[in-house]
Amino acid sequence: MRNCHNILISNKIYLFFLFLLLTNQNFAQENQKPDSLSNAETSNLLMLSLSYTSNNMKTKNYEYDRIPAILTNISFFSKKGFFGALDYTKFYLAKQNTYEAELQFGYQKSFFKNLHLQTNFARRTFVGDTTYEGLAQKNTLALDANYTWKFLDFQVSNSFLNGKSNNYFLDLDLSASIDFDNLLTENDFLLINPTVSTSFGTDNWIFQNMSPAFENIVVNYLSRNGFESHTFEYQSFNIYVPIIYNIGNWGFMFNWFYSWPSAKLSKLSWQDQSGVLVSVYFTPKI
Amino acid sequence: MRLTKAIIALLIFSVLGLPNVFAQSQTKGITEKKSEVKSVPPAAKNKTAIQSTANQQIIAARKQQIKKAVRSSSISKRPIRRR
Repeated sequence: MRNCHNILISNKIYLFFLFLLLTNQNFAQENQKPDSLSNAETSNLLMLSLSYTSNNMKTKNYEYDRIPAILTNISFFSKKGFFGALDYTKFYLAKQNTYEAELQFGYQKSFFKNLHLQTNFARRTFVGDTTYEGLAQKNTLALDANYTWKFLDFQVSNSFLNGKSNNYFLDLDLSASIDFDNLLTENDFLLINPTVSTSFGTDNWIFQNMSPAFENIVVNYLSRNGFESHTFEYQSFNIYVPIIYNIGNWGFMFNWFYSWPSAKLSKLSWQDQSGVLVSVYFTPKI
Repeated sequence: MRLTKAIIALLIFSVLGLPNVFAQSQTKGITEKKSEVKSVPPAAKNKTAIQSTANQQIIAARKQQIKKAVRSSSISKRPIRRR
């Protein structure tokens, strides 16, 4: 089972690299920006967005296998590198008023043009039907590092989550920035940002809502099937394909995503997660 | 018969004639624009060129900033929920 899973992931990575190779020739030129651009003065940026996600979560254990939501986001990026964001997510299919809100602030600093470090802290509140809650974290501390090489972007994300259980996640992302400027006017661009992401993490969150007796049953079941519990391990392989068209102060995004859980999570009846996220955003001049 | 000839003539004119007329008017426009540009003093011309380059750089810088913000925002980065 594990071998099959690994072969599947290898094939997916191979296809992604093949895609990158095919697109490399076309987009290498697009990404050769004049140096003077990086010297042009940037200003503060405010971004307001409204999104809809279909998020199909095929989990046999849950009553709901679809968790669509409406998301609103206000983000502010200062030219000094500080940023803040407020996210509000409404789960409109829930029988009772169910939403989550997250306040985030952080700092980003670039080194040697290609290396970007970012740290942020987020505080989250969830209200309503806990079936929709997912991972129940209250505080998140994240530290990300990005390295940009030509049109490729390598990212290492570390996040420490504190809540019903304490967890640490490590995400390794590889994305391609394929962008076309001045398509219809001198003020627009098209950005395609396919990303593959491999997630590792602790599994304490799996047991967060279980009684000690039930937790023992699950731990034994996993053990009989050759899986360890309360460990740090590979958890999922994910693909995101955001396509963004921006004209002036307005932008539209279509983001398709798919996630394959690890063999261990699959054994616990987690199945694939997929969906689309459609967004419209506004970046007023301030 | 006359009507047919008239239609054919009109078609030939529209295919061959109109684009030429259009091209001529465009050339005329370009010539006029060129003469307008020529009449601008060299110092002002340089200033306009510098201003235009500066505007392009500002637009390009803002585009870069928006691209970076979109890439790092939650709408493109983490639509997948951890459970």
